[in-house]
Amino acid sequence: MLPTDDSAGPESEITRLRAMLAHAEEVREIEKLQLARELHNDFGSALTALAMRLAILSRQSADAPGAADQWTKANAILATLAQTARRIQSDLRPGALDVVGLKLALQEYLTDFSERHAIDASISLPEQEPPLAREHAVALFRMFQQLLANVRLHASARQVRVALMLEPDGRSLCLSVADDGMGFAAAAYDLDRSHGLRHIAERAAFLGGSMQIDSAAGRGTSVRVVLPIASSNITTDSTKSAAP
Amino acid sequence: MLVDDNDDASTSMAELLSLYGHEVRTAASGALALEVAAQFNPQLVLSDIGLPGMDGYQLAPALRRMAGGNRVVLAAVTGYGQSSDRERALNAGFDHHLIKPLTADALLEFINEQVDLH
Repeated sequence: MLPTDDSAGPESEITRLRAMLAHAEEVREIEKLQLARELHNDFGSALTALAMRLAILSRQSADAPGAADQWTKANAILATLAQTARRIQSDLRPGALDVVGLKLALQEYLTDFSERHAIDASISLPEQEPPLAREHAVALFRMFQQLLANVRLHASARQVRVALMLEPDGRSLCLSVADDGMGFAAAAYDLDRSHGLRHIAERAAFLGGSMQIDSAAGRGTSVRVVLPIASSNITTDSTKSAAP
Repeated sequence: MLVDDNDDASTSMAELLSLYGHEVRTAASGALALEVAAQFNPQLVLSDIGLPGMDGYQLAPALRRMAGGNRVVLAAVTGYGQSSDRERALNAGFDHHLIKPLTADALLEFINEQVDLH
């Protein structure tokens, strides 16, 4: 929600509601676009590979050398497609958030990310579930997904470290995602060049929080997202490895 | 040369094209594609756009510079199928814009057209 001002009149309330509506629309459109691109990329590649394997098989006799190998590869692609379908379904609706909460949802997603992309990952979590409003938890999870997508696509990283922690003021929660990749000159960076980062910054600001980037060429990238929480009953951290 | 970070896609396309007598190399990233191209001097490059590190939009002009005056046909093979994506690919230096999923017949027809023109 936008910060409210009790002394504000009806006009500023209308302005606030319009801003909320515009933001919600923009978020929906961006998420749809991301889903469309993921469908095209992941399914497009796998379906192309399957089409090629079947074409090779159709041009060979059934007992030709290598035919069994082609069938095995085609079946493996089908298995990948099924896995991708399940993952997209999970991305559309992060059910783990409802069932196990933000902590485990982050950990599960990071473990899957680490296995799929061969990037070492570790995560540091608070002992207790953060008392975050549900809309904030969903937003934070979406931002986390976007930050990992950035690591995969742009960082050329070997390792990613994630931390979820209570801020010293006890009134906000910080998610940090740091990689050891190529980095970039953050001070001179124009956020408009990255839809993903700009979207995270805007979404965090909309929810009363903020985003900070710390990066330099050759020194990796660290992004911190801070969101306000409902209360401050979080205790000490525990560090876990996300990879099995 | 086939450039795709999806190993299944590039390997299977390479195997099919090899069956038809084409000499094929694959690369899983833009940086690797430049290394392969320097040795292989491809006549035709089919490249994904969403590559790790250097993406297809950056790769196309780099391949053009590397080829110098030699003719090389660059085709984007991508899931980004909107008209704006096509326009961006062509502006980046690609000659063609093919959309995944690609069928074997479409791939072979495209390759044969390019070979005939070469």
